[in-house]
Amino acid sequence: MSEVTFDEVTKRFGDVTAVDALTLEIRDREFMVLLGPSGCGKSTALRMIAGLETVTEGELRIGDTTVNDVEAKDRDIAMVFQSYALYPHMTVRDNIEVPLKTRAYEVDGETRKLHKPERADRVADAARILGLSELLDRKPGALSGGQRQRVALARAIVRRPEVFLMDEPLSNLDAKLRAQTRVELVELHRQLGTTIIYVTHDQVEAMTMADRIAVMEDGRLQQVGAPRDVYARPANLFVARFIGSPPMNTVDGRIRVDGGRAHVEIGDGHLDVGPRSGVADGDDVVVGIRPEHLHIADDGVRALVRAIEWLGHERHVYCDVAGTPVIVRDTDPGEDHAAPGQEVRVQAAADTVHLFDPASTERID
Amino acid sequence: MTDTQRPATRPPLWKRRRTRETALAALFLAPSIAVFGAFFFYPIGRIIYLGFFQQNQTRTRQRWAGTEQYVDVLTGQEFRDGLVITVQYVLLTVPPGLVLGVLLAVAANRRLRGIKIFHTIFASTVATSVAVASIVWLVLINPTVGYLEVDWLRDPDWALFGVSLSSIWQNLGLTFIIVLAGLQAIPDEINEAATVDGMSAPRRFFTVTLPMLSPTLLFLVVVLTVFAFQAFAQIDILTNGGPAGATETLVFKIFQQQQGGAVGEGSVMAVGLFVITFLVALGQFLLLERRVHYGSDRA
Repeated sequence: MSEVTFDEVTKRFGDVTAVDALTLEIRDREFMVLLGPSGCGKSTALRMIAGLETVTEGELRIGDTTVNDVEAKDRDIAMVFQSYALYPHMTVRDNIEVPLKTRAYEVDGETRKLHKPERADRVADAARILGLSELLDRKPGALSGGQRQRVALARAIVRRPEVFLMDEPLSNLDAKLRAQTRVELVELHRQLGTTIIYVTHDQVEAMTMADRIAVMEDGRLQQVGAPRDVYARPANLFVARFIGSPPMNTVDGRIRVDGGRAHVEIGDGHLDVGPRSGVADGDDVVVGIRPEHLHIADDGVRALVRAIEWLGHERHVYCDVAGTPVIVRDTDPGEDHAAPGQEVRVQAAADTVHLFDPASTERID
Repeated sequence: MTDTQRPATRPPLWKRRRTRETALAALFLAPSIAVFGAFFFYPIGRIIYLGFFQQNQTRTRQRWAGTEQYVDVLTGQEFRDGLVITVQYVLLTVPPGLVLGVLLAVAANRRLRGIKIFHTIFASTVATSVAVASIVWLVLINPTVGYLEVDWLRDPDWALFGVSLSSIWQNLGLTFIIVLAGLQAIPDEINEAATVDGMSAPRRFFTVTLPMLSPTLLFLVVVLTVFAFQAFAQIDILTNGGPAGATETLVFKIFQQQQGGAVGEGSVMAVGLFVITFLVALGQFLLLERRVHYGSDRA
């Protein structure tokens, strides 16, 4: 059992609240990504699980055990740090072996320190899984960034812990290696079948690797869900704007209800948003539309084209809609619908338009 | 162009350019050479030269004594006694000073409110002169007014230990500052990784901190050893070499020889001390460097 449960957990540093009453259940064998911008509290939450930060209030459980007062060295977790934190004076072999020397392990029903041949077997296994067998006698200084990252992973998996913690482990890799390692991490998770809690500010990493994403801002949990759900139904404006690249367009508008169907007025144009129960005629709303759901059409909302980016497989048309910047993602770049300086109209299907309350920023259904 | 058109005496272009570069290099090096020459090479040369002569009491005349003087002095009882006391002094000051400095730095390497006050206090002896440090300890270990109420400085068995206390205290600030800087250069994440890997605090210190501190410690071992070989003022102030020559280190003996007019013999001792200090420092580098880890930059 390797669930991790935050139950109203708060962490304060003096007057600053880094994590505010976080309640989150991370399931056994789940790949959970804590996602948010810098300073949102995601790393602090991870460090509390590791035991590197104390819990100010609330209860933190690993499995059935409350770990608020359990020292880091006594928790059955392994962690991969952003800088990898390899011991520079030790060889790759020694780095991977360290956790095997310091802890007792269960072997054939008996908990004891591992013998040297047992340690060597486990190191060889971890090295084989991560393709490090040829590098075992090198020191970290003689490895590339990608190889160091693998050593850090090997040092984590060699322990076969209940929970893996990863603090932005891909951020020091170049774009190509990052993409490759993302796939490898997902495969590793499937192979090991262990809970992984992964912290990142990169929503692409979150979307591509996570079973579920927990989006955080200012120490508070904003939304938890599968990547597809978080993308399709953002719980509030922060999540809507944070998830997606390019981000969701958000424009102020006013609701007009006419014969059971709602419309939203934006400038001198309007968009049909279908039947909506949560709004009334005259309500002010924030309209959210993903760039790929907007298209240039004969009717809809007036937009002034500012610039066009051609990316080969698609075009990004940068416009001004009622004074707000908006991006239209045109996946048919062969046809020129617009040119910079030109006035066009943009339109979206009713079921792709998200509405948010401007005061609370929460989603309106 | 034929050979006859080229002036026969003019050297080729590469040679002229090389000469010009050599002259320029000499010009850039001249200030350093002048300073080193005046304050290092000339005094060493002069001392070696003086070691071949014997002077009269008033130092108005000298006569050639040759290499025999070197052999006599360096194999003599006086030099041997001085060397034994110097080595004892090195052993009494360097290892305890280093251990104390490391302990203080480890204790002070924490993020606590007001820790800078302790940093300042621990480092303060670095701003204290040898004379002040010696006077402080002269009072502290005085049998009548002293804090410890012992008479170590007048006891031949304890005098060197008493002087060593003063030196350890005076060098502690320097050791503390350098070790603290070394500790602060170790990334937090390395210590955190060691904690998550299951290491207790003592194990973390010996397995991670100490190896990563080894370049700093090597530097300190060499510097503190050289300092100890050169110690003079504290001995002069605290015991004046006594009692019964118990604190007469080589430097103190050299001083005495020079004061007594035996410039030649004193010079030979100085050359002997220079060679020994140089060899000890070199030996430390060669022996200890094998155990030093220079971090992630080296394989």
